[in-house]
Amino acid sequence: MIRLFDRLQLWLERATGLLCLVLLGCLFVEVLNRYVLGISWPEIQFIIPFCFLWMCMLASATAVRRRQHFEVDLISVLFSERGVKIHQIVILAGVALGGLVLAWSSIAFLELGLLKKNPSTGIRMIYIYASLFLGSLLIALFAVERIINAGWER
Amino acid sequence: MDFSFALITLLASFVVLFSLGLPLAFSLLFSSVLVITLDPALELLVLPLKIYSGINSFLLLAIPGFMFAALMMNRVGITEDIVRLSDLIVGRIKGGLSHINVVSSMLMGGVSGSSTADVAGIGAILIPAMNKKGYSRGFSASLTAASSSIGSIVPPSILMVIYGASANVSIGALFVAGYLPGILVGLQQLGIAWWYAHRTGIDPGTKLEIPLREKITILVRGLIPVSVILVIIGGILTGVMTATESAAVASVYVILVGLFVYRRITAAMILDVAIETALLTAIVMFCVGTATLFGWLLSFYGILDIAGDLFLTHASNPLVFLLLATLLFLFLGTFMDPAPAMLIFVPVLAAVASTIGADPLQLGILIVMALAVGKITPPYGISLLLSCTIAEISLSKAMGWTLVFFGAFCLLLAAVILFPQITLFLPNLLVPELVGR
Repeated sequence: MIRLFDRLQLWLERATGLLCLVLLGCLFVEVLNRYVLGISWPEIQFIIPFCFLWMCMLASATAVRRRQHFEVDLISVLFSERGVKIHQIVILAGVALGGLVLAWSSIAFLELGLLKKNPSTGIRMIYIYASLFLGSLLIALFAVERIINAGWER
Repeated sequence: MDFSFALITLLASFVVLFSLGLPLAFSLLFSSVLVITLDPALELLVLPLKIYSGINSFLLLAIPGFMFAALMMNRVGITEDIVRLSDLIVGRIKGGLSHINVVSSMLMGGVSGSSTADVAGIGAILIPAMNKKGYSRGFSASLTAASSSIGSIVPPSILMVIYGASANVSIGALFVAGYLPGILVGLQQLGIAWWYAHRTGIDPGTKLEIPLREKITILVRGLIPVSVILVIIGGILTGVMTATESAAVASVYVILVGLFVYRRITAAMILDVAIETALLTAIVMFCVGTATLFGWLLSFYGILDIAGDLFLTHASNPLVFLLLATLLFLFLGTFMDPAPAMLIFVPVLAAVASTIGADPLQLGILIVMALAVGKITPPYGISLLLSCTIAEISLSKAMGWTLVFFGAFCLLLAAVILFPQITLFLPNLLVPELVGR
């Protein structure tokens, strides 16, 4: 199972890297369009938030697996080795629950995205809003995987 | 729902969850969810709406641009060129290596805007060289950590981008305002380094004559990092680009320089750097999203009125307010990462600042400086920990000199509070149209 998650993480990271490059490329093209080409591409106004939101939400999920979210560990020094492990599992359960709550609340947001359209392009906003739903689910998934791994560790 | 009860629940649950070790973004999320669930006037839809509006900020799009440019420059080996250029400029002065350390940090800060990148890059080259020359390991580690703090003060600075977006202050004006304090920090550290070399009698400076041709080569290669600074700052100051666009242009420029000048960039390296950029940006931005939700709830329940009243009663003088804000961020910086510390407190403080007549630009520079020095103060002092690891000494051995640098930095903070012109002179002179926006 770890291999499957490793592969998922790898693909997600590649996707976030590509989204980052497209995002920077679009911002650069905007400057180029304004001063050199003298044209305007309304699609860029949709691509930029699309890339940024998806990049942030997918990379937030991989950050859960890499344990890179900001945290302050003040109390684990008070615990025994077993206590530290239980503490870690409780924290991960909290992260998983957080992901699920956000995913749950994002369902209504998805419905809103079906109605709302991008003012520059007319493309439905669900394509951007869906990043919150999927990103939160992945956060929960990676947190659960870490709980299972922590449970197996001796 | 009673507003004061809601506020207490929101703040107390956040403090408890964060102290228990839940990641910051999730502590902010859970405390917000708790209050939204308890309050029948609010719906859960607020959650994604506010998180989305927090992340979807054009100003904060500058973060991945600056991060990408900084990471890419480190990969192509620009650090060595910066150190060589600094050697050419200050290497002959007494205490040459320590001066090179400080000047390199000033130049590097202008390129990367990240202090940890600075310690990792410059420290790895200079700390072993300084130790070999007879500097105490404690001094070389604490000087490297202290000088890296300039990276957050000299533009471009990611912390300034976050402050600008949170406090609705022009990022261009903040960048310009950071120059003078950054240079003063550098001069102060150069003074301490000179005094150390003078007192101990080590490192009389390079006496070797560098051939003219080599000097020209060093200068030309040193122009590359300087040209990146020009692209970023020049673009913003001339009004040709926004901070966000200049960050993207700098990224493309760095790729082109890496491809055609250094010839070290591969497609795999670009993707690798992009992945790292995405990860580092996402960690900040997910916090931005949940902090926006949390901040919205705070203002919904009237924290701005309460904080405003509190400051108007006890610290209505802008000087006292700036002092208290600086002390707060000095304290927060000791155990928290600068970005989340800003995201939580800046919106409230910036609103209070405008009420009592404190300058938001001056407040921003003070906050950035206070958080920058937090990176050399334990327990969170990540720059100090990194430089101690490179110097192969324990934290306690570097504490003496770190306290000297910390004390000097605090004196400068006091000067910035007392003399607003240190921060406001350059913006008023160069970008008056951006000041007060």
